[in-house]
Amino acid sequence: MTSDTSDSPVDEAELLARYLIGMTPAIRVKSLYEKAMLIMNIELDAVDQRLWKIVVDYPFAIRMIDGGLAIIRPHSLIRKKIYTMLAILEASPEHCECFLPQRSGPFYIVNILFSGARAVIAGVLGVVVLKLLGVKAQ
Amino acid sequence: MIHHYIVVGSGVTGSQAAQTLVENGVKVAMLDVGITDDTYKSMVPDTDFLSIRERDLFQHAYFLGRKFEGIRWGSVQAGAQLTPPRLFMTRATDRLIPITSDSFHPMESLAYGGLGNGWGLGCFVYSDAELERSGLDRSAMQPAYEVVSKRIGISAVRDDASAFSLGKLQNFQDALRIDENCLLLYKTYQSKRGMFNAKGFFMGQPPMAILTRDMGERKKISYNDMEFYADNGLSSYRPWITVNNLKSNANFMYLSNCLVTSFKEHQDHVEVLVHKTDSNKNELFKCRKLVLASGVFGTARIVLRSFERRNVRLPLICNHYCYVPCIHLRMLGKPTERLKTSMAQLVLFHDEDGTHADVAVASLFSYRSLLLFRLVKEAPLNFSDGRKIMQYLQSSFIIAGIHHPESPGSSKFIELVEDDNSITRDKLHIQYSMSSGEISKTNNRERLFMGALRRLRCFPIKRVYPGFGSSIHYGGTLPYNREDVPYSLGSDGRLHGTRNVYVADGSGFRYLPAKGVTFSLMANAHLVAQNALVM
Repeated sequence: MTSDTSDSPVDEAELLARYLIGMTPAIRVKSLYEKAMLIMNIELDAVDQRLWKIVVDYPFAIRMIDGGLAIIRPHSLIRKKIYTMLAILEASPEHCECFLPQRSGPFYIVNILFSGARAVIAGVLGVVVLKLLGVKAQ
Repeated sequence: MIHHYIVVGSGVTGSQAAQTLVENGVKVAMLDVGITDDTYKSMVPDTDFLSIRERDLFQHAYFLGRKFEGIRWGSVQAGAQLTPPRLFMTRATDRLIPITSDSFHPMESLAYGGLGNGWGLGCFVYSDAELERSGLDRSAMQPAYEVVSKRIGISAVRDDASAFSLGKLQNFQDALRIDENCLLLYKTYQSKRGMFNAKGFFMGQPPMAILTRDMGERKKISYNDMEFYADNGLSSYRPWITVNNLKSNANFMYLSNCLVTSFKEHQDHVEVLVHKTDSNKNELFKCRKLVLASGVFGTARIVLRSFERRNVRLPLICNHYCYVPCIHLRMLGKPTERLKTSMAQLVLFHDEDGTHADVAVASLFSYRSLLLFRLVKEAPLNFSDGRKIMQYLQSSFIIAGIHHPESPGSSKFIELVEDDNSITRDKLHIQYSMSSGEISKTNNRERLFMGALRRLRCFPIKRVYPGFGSSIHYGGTLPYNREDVPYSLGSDGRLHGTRNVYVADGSGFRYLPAKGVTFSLMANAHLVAQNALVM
């Protein structure tokens, strides 16, 4: 599967899985994502196309852009792509440990607080970046 | 050929009405569109949710849908809890029974078993005050509840909430087992019971149409946490089970692909006009008595067309609903058990004035089998961190679904308007809004519920409003009326202005108590069928 806007082929499934669960997805999962994209036929508007190009060119920016979009354009189609991958990963036994309940460990609360703080920072930075790029709230 | 009785619809009311008629020895033809699920029926394994998650490579097909139709984008709407194997319930409704509205988004079904395929299985007995406000006969409803309870099998227990949920019901099986999450919540309630009761809150287990003992071909619950996806073992009651059983009776005839559009009453029979959905042709059926049980909107369409009245406004009521995801602090980081049920495990009633006449209710669920991704979507966070946070918090999630009682109002109505694109040349237009007084009252009540949840150490995150129509509890379009006025029902369920047309669904309910309507709909359908038997 290639992005709508990139000149070179991009492994979207790999990019999104690494972002969502920090690992390479099973080959089967990649095929499912490609099938889902074919069926859903998501057509990004001009704003989303521009943001998607940034995500593809600078994968480290995806958390920030996703976080910013979650606040000002929660129904962005970029988020629909990420959401679709999230659902597919969850419904795959190879990756279910990333979604099933976690037992309490010594760093249980620390992990929640860390993820929460990172999400808030990513969201705030994301909103700033999106505003600088001229993205308007939906 | 003139049928003795025609029952329209195979949902919770049609199936109960038909069973009552057949048990009394009369011949019944059931007309139904009867859409069935041919895709997922045998796909879901008969094992528990966690085993499926850990092993089944094919799980995406029924968790997300073969065409990924279970991955829904956009705002939460009516039917958000419907999983791909349940989506057949709403198939073909846009084409065959169109609705237009910018304020109300109901769910209708043309499926075999109707909306009952996705019913949450709560079986609540209305109080005397609620029966009276709804226009139902108090003395007749009590035995009718018993009849239906024996037929469908209900699990329940007498506890603090029984006065609101069970009433005087005698026939029920042992209650369902509660999972650790809800059990801790219940223990907290019990330790502060006096304070909660003084504030008008009462907690207990809801009576559920789920078996805890085998009943004929139906097996007791296996706690596999897959109720949102399959009816394996038939421990959960679904109306099609009744219709399947009726099919073996010589007095019963089931006819599918029949969309009833109107009727015309003659001296000694009723003509029923049917649009055949397989051939797109019209067909005429005749009967001595007609029992309409096609749901509030379906029946309204048929009645309005039959009286040739376009642009007549009928009242409508629908319970206002919101759900509140909460974090139960005592469950943070605790492991969850493998075997549990997905359905409501506790109910919290709020009786504001102690009269049992104006009661709101929150149904409490432990969240797991609807998968995390649906919850992550509702958080204003990036999906990666959102996934991680939700995973850590998952075992402590409680979802409270709050229902409010509902009365009619001048800005809540339906009407049939012309539509040349529709096969029936019309569509239903719905207008629905609450008065400022009603909005203020429901807001205050939700705040009280959220306060009560906090006292149970269960912290609400946000209120989610799926919009008007999302409770899927509808009524009041043809309200019960002692006077013989048009577009109303007599106390026996007979449609005023007719001699032999009865309405067995919720169209007559003048008021909708907050507690689930389904059990009362079934009991009332049984009574209407009994009344229709009287020559």
